[in-house]
Amino acid sequence: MSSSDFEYPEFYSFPPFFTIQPVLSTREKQMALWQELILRYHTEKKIKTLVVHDCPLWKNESIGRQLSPEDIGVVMTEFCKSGHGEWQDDNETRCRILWRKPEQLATDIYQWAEANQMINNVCTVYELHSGEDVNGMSFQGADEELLRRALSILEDQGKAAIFKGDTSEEDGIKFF
Amino acid sequence: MPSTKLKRWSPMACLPVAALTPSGLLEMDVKDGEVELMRRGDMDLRSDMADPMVPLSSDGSGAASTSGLKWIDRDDNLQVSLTTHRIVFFATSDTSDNQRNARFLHLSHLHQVTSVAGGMMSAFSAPRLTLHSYMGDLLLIFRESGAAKDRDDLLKFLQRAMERKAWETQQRLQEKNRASQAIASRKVGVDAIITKSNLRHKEAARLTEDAFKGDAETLLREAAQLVKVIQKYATTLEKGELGEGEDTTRLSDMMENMGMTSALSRQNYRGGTSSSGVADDYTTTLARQLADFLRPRLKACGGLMTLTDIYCIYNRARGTNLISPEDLLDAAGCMKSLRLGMSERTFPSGVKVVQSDNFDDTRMAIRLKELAEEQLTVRTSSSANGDEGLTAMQVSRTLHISALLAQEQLLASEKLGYLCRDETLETTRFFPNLFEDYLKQYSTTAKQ
Repeated sequence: MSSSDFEYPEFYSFPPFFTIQPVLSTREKQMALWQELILRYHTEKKIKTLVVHDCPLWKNESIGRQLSPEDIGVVMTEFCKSGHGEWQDDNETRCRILWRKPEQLATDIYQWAEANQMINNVCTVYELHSGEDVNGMSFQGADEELLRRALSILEDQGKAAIFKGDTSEEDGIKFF
Repeated sequence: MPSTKLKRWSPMACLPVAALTPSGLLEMDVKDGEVELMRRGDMDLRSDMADPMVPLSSDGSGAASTSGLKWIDRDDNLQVSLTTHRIVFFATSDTSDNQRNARFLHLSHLHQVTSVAGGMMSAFSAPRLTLHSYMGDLLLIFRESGAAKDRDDLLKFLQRAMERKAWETQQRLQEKNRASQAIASRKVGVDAIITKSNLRHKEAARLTEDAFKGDAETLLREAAQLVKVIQKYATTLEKGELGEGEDTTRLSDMMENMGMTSALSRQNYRGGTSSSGVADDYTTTLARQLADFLRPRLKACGGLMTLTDIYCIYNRARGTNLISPEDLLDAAGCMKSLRLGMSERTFPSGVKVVQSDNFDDTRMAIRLKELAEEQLTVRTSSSANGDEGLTAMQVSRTLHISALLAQEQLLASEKLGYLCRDETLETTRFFPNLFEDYLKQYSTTAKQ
């Protein structure tokens, strides 16, 4: 997918979208829309990290509206609360976007393993996010840290075992 | 129609019914120049006759049946209001359907009023008046502290009103007018016009002179006629003899707001229970008067009016004996408990308004949402930028309400979830709340 053809939804041109709504019930819906937008934008463009001061979403030039820095803070806080984002630093300038939550990712990986006869076989972590067999899967190009969290969930469930390789990328996974 | 079934057979039930305004104020005979003179509370009315009186049905059309009822010769705790024409009794305890019961005795039916001093017998020591009427003798007993002074006041006013026979002067006045018209009609051409105008000026001069020469009571009596003089002026204006169109309409607008029949000040009122924390008589009367005054105006401006606006137009209408802001606040505050069809409301911002009972926030919110939607279609069709969204000014212009109220209404609709806002440096604009629709749309596209 090329990076330029992200299709902005209709509400992105709705001026009130760029004002934090004071009425609670309205604001909840607005925040849900922001979360969806941020998530889709980053998932479709395969961007793993949101850099707060460098994100094009905050400003819509065509209608002359933008979020103020405080408003961005509110939106990002809500976004992280939803479980799709994690701050990478204490200053809250960079946010890891969790395209799928670790739990969802774990399920996805296991389904993929079943579909590709990987049960009782071994593959590496590298193969999981950059291998040839994972084309089009939700975890293709996924953040390694996120991937590892998903794998440890599978391990806890007894569906996989991880053993150390020479480098972290060569760590092996065996599915049961 | 009110039922003709009598609930209580007492002297009150045997007097003719006084017409009341929708807010429960005494309706006066403006054509006949009736003016309220004084008002006192806490009195008993008692029949001083051996035989029971003949009751009138509550619609006043005829005698009512007394079957199954026992004659009670007294009514307790009444309010009494004296006008130039009538003495009116109000039952303080409201009946179940919240219609005040008011009965009157026309002064022409009275032939004498005598004062009975507190006698030697301690049981009958309360000061009292005896009203000798064609129906028989009625006793008016003063219960309140300071009753002796009240009794003397009422007696003084009553006797003067009876002497003056205001109900007859109106007839005499008409005869006199006819006479002067006869003089004018004998002349022709310019002469006739000059004579007519001279007569008019003389009449107006006499009125003003009389009004300010005499005591306050005469002034009150003349007030009704003075208002008429001003109204006459307005009609002349409408005929286009004077001024340009705009001036004429402005003045006649102002005149329309006049026409108060009673502008009693606090001093004319006594006999409430101001000390006990309950709204006193002056306040409740003012509230009723306000309600009558506001009813058509509230309808015209969408069911809401700020207290500031009310203060201005009401005092302009009174002309004399202006009320204070505190009086207005008190009166507005007790409108709800009097069930006058309107009540006071305070917006979250602290703006106080009087709101008609059939005003509906939701209906207003829907109306504003429609306005905002119209505004949005204008935008998409002309694809112009920056003009979209609804501002308080636009609402104020479209709905003919003040900008302050428009803002309050917009905020109320936002709170109900019909609108959402777009804050920019210049102003705050309101849009129909589309967030929910967008959210539904967006999450369904995700599933595909």
